[in-house]
Amino acid sequence: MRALLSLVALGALGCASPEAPAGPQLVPGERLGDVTLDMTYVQVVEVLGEPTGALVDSRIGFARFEGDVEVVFTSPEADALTDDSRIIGIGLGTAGDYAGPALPGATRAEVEAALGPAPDSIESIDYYPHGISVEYDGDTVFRVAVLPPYERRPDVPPMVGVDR
Amino acid sequence: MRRLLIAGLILLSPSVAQAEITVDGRTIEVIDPHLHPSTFGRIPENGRGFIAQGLPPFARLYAPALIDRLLDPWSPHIGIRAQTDWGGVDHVLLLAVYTQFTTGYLENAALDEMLCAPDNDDGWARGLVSIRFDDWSEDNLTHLESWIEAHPTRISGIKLAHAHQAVTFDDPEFLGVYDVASRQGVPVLLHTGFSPFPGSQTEPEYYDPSGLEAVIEAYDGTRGVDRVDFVLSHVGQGDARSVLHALELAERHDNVFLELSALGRPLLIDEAGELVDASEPQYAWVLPEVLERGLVEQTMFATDGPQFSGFVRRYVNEIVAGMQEAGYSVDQIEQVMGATARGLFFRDR
Repeated sequence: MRALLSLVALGALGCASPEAPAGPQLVPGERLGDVTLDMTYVQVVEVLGEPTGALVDSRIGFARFEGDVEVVFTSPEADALTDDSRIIGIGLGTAGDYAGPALPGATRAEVEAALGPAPDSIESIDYYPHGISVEYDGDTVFRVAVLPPYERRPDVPPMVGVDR
Repeated sequence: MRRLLIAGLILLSPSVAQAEITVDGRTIEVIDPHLHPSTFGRIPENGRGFIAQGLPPFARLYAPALIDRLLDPWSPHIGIRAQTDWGGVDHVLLLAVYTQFTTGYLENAALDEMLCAPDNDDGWARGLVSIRFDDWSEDNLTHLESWIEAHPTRISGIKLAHAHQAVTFDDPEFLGVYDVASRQGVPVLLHTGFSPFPGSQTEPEYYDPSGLEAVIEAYDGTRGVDRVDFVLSHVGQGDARSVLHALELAERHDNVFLELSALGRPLLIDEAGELVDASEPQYAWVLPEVLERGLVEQTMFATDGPQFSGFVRRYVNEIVAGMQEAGYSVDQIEQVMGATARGLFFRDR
C-alpha cells in the first residue's frame, strides 16, 4: 500500500512538472547525472575523472569524486578497484546542480512530499525500493544514494510442494 | 605465529577464481554445508537493524544493495559463490529457512530456483529445504517431503532452527518432520546454541540440544523406523552447558554430528549458567574437545555465512589453523573440512 502511495506521489509530481528540469538528474534506481548503475569503474572514470580517494576492503570499494559524489563498487580484487569493478550504489553529499526527488539539504517534508513515507528504515536512513536511500541529520537530508531497486517481501508465502 | 600459520594455508592467486586449501602440501576438499541465501526484502526490520550494525556507518546508506548482493548466490565478486571460491570452498549447501521473525526467510521454492540456475550446472551447490512451524498444518509435512522426494540429487536434507522458529526441541506437535527425514533417508541440520539475534528464543529448551535426545534415540535405526542423522549446527554455541550437551550427545549416539559454524564468537554463558565476559573464540575450546573425545569423524566444518564479504575465507583459515594448533593430523583436518559433510549430504540416495 505504501509502495502504491509512493507511486501515486511520483505520478502527481510528474503531472505537475511536465518538463524535466534542466541540469543533471538524480533518478532513483537508475543514475546520478551521467553515471548509471550499469557502469564499470573505467566507465565511471571516463565520466567523473579519477577519484580523489578510495577505500577498498574485502572486494567492496568506496571511491570519492569531485562534487561530493561517492560511487560504491564490487571488485574482483580484495583491496583494489579494477577496470571491471561494478557499481552497486552512487552517493551524493552536496546537492550542487542536481535535480531530483531527494537531495542533500532538503527537508524530510520535501522528500516525503516527493517520494512518500519510506517503507524501510534503519536508524537515520530511509530506503525506498524503487532505488533511493536518504540519510537524515535531524529533519534535513545529509546524504542520498541511488541504488538498484529491491523487492519488498515481508510476508512469507504459504508453504507449497513441488506440484504447486 | 598464528598469522604465519594462516598465511601458509591458502594458495590464492588473484588470477585464479577458485582458491585451494592446502595443508602440509596436500590439497583438501572443503565443503560448507551452511550458507544462507536471501534478500534484503525478506529480512524483518529488527533483523536488518542487527545486520546493519555490522556495516561501517558510512556503508549503511547502501545496505539494500550490499545485502542483496552478499546474499545472492550468483552476484559477481561478493555473492555467495564468489565468496566461497575466494575462500577455497569447493561445494556448499544453500539453506531454505522459515525464520521470518528473526533473521529473515528463504522459501523452498526460491531455494529450488537458485539450485536450478545455469551457474549451478557444475553441481557446486545442493540444498536443504525447511518447514514452517508457524501457520502450522499437517500439509506442511507433505509439502516438505515433496521437495525431497522429487529432487534426490539437489535436495540433501532438512534445515530447522528451533530458537528462531519459536519451537522447543521436544514439542510433540512437530515431530512428524523426523518421520519425513526417516522415510526419505536424509539428515536434519538443526540450529543449536544461544542466538544473539533479536527475536530469537533465549531459554535453553529452544537451543540446548539435550532436549532432543529422546528424538535422537527414537530415530537411531534400531527401533522400527529408519535412522535419521542429526547435525547439531554451531555445537550448541554461546552457552557452555549447551556445548557440553552437544558433545556428549555425539559421544553417546552415532547418528549425531557436530557442525562447526558460528564458533568464532566468545562464550556468553558459563557452565553454571552465569553470563561471562570471555574473549577467546569458542572453537579454541571446542576443537580440542572434539579431538579428545574421538568425535572427528562426526564433525564437519561450516560457516553459517556469508555474513559479510571475506567472512567465509577468514573462517576457513581460522578453523584450519585452530585444528593444526589443537594437534589434528592432515587426515583429520581433511575429514572435518569436507569428508564428513560429503558422506552425509553429497551421497546418492
